[in-house]
Amino acid sequence: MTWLVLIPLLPALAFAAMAPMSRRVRTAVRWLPLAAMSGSLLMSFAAFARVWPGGGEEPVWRATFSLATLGGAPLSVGLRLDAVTAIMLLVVTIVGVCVQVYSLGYMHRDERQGWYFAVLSLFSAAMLLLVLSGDFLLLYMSWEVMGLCSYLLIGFWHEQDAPRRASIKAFLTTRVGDVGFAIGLAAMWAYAHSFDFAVVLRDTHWTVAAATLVSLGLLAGAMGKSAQVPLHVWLPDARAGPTPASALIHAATMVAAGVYLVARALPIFHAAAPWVLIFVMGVGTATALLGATLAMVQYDIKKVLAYSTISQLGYMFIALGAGAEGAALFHLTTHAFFKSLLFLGAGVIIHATHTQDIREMGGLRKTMPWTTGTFLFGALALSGVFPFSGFWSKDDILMTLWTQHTWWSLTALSVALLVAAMTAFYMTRVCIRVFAGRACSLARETHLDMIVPMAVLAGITAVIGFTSPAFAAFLGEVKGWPDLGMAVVGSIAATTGIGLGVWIYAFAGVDTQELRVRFPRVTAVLENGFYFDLTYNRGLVETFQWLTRLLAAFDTTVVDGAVNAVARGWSAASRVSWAFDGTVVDGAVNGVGALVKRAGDRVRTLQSGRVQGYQRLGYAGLLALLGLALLVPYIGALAAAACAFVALIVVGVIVVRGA
Amino acid sequence: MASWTLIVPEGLLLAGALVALFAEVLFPGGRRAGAWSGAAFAALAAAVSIAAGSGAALFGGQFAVDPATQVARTATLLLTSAFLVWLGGAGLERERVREFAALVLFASLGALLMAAARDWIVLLLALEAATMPAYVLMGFDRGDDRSLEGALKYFLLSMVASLLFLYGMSFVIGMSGSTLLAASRLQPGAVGVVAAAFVFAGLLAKLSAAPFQWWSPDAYAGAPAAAVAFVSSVPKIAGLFAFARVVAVLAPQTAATGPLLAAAAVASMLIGNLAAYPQTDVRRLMAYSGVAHAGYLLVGLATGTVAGTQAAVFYAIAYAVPSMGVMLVAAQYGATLDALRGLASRRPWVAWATALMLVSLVGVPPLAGFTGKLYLFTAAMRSGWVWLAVIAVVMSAVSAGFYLRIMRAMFFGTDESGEAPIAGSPASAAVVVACALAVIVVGVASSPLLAAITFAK
Repeated sequence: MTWLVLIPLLPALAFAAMAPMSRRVRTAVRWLPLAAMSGSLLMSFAAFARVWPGGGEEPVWRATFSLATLGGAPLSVGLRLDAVTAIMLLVVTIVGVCVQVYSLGYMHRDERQGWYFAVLSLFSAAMLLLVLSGDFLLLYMSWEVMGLCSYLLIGFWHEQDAPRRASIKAFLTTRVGDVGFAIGLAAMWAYAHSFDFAVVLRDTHWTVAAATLVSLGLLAGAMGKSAQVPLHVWLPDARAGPTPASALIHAATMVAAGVYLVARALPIFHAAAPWVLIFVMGVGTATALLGATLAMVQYDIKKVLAYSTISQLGYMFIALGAGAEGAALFHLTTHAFFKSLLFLGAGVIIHATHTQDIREMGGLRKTMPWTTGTFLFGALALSGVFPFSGFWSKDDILMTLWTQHTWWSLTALSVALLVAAMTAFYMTRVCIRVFAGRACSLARETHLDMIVPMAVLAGITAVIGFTSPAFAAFLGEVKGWPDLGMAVVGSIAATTGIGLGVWIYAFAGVDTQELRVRFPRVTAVLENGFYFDLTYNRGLVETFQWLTRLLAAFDTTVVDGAVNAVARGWSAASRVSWAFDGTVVDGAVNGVGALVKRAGDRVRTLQSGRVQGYQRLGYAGLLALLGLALLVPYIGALAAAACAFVALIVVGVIVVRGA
Repeated sequence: MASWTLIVPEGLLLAGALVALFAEVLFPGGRRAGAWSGAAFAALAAAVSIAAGSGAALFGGQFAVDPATQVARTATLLLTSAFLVWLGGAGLERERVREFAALVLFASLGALLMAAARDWIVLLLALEAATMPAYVLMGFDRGDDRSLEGALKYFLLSMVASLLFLYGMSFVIGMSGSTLLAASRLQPGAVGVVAAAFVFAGLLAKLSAAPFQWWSPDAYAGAPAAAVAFVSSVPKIAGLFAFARVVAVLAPQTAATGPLLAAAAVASMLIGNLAAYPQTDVRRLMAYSGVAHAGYLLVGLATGTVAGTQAAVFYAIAYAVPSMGVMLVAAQYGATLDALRGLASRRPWVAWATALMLVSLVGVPPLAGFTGKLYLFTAAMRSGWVWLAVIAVVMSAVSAGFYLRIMRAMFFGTDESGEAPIAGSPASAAVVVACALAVIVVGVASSPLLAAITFAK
């Protein structure tokens, strides 16, 4: 089953092929990542079939690749395929293909779309590798690659200020968690002398102290990636990137990687001190509540969805805190489909109305029936309405909390029910604002190529909930159909939220503007997102800037002239670089043989004067050298092949010229 | 401890740089005092370097001087001193000569450390210490946008080179469990090859060898010619020397070294010699010439033999002297071919000395360039790289064309610009003539110098 390697490799190759291309060629081959992703999708189905019917503890397939011996210890990375992996592969590839198809329509006017598709492909490769990896080291590597891709995609429109800032914020905030992750990994290596899942999770006998340290480290990484309080601040800003990228990365897959990580490492969490799991649940509860609260007051449709994602990730962490790996993964799965659906719908809406503000939208149900329909599917699923998928997975989590029956799980349960009602409320608010009422713009329905992916996701959202018992069985857990009592309680919560939303926004039961005016302090707190950004700015950024200023003052007074001049000059240099570009290549040639002259000119055209071009050429040169170095053993055969190739081209040219 | 005298040259350069920085305070009225004092310090350091001998290692083996290292260090110091004499004589017709002198001394200090480094980390730090002042030197004309642009390009691409080197180096250190060069162990298989390739790629870029030569024509063409004269020549001796050290350590452990360096050598020789033809700016022309010469040097390293490495170190010196001399002339009398028209009638001594150095760069007996190439190509033939030697010989014949264009401009052109020639000073003219003499001496008395380049094992 070595072909499994191809699942992450295909999108990675697509990226490697596109990276050195010029902008024009990249745009021409923008379908390449989709082709690679489709291949991965087919193979993921095959992998799923191999694992079916699941239920076993042992992985179906595993492979270890020895990298090197570092400092005397063997360093190897491994892949493994088990039930969890099979499910995650399907989630990532299905959502990935839908987003890729959608993006072809969504991005088709963008000049740099080739780069977008290339990075999207690299991201898919990293995410697929993450779920396939059989040890924490490979997981960490792909984790970091995903972080890089997220940074690149958030800052895709880097000539604007907001995306650039958001990308740096996202990168730095997740980095805070990643430091914890790295410490956890180091502790893991120190104690277990291995990163392998089988060794670390099953064969190692953990002491409480070691397990606590490792699990807290991993948790820190997961909190950064999955935007848990207090590291959630980057996700609302991440909406600055292209919407389909948000759908894939910041709703469906990457942000769920933290949940996946904790789910994988749950045996270590069980071995740790008991308060660690309670802490996980506390983090999840706080995040779910905070996300839902803030989602209720946003006017930016993508920001509502971003806060909703934070809130739902909190839900998953609640499940993890209860030790219910299956429930968390089930919610991860259903959430991946309905939230990416919602984001794709939001993309279409923004495209059609040219605004992200829900106050300026309205009446889209008449002009955009398909978008309205699919978006409503997603909204109903998110609100937890039977029979849509969100109902089932949410019910799963609530039931787990009820069965555990400790004071903290019951607290979490009551908060979770409140959050469920709030979720239903804010989705009702968005839907009424956007789809109901008078049409206030000339929005038109989008093209088929963007509707189809949304329809596919909507279909999955509608039916996937019914697989709930099968899903559990596949993971090796025993679970029946939902308990009627909990289903009724959950539905009541959802209905309350919807009813309240309809009353306020459809029948204008309460004047929300008046509420804002009457409770200015509450409004201020909510509008500032509980002051997280402000606190970080005051506490960290400004301290750092103060330090920078101090050092700068030191610099200017102590170090004189040259340094400053060069710094000033370099910034000036970048300004004139453009103007200078065309003027480099000039000059007449005399007294030299024509052949040498032409060869010289050839070389000189590469010497364009653009530093980006030089770096690309250097990169190509490095690849050529690497290729050469690695192929040295086969150099004879290659030389023969090259000669044959050149001969073929020469013959071809002669034939064409002759014709 | 006698062995501590080994590091005295570094100390003297540091002292010289600091004195130069504060020259205006220390020597009131003497605008060029910084350069003169720097030249004195560098000359003194050269004398110490010769007197201190070789053989010992310092700092737990991270810093060591064997006879070959001593040659490279002494050559670097002498050239630095000569450059500073030129600078003090007339070279820069502008303020801030003291800063220029201090930066040159700092860069030279980095180069000295680089030659003596026997540890990956020290090597990296020395490499950076030698390059950092060079960024400033290349952007020395603050008012000139092209100078700043060239410096920025140099900086950005040089940083990429450093990162490549650092990346490869981290692999090597990880595999060998030690940061000492001598303790480097590459694992068989792809990891070792990739690590070596990254290290070489970084060093190739620093040496402005293809396929990483892109920065040098733009950087040189924008920079003040005086800065180019230093940056393109003096640090290259130590750079090549460090490169040779790394090759000597890694080559026996991976078979990819030879083909990899040979490929870079061929690409450098082709690109450098062919692209030099259409150039009318002496700086740009000499940049491509530098690329081509990096190619010749790589021929020696690609052989992987001691003879090849010796020849490469020898040729680095044989290249650096005329390269600096020619650029000094360009710095003083004009950096384009048109500006050099009719130089022979205005400054016959300088013109004849320049012609001699150009002829040496082509490789005409009995000058240093010829002897160096002879050693290089013989080493390549003996170790079986016949095709490589053939390409190198053909390419050095091709190179005659563009060097002759400079000579034709000097001797047969007439000055049409009508601008008043810059008044030359005796000191700066003497430096150019001294460089030409050195080319003859090194060429004729090559065997003692080559014999001195022996590596400790």
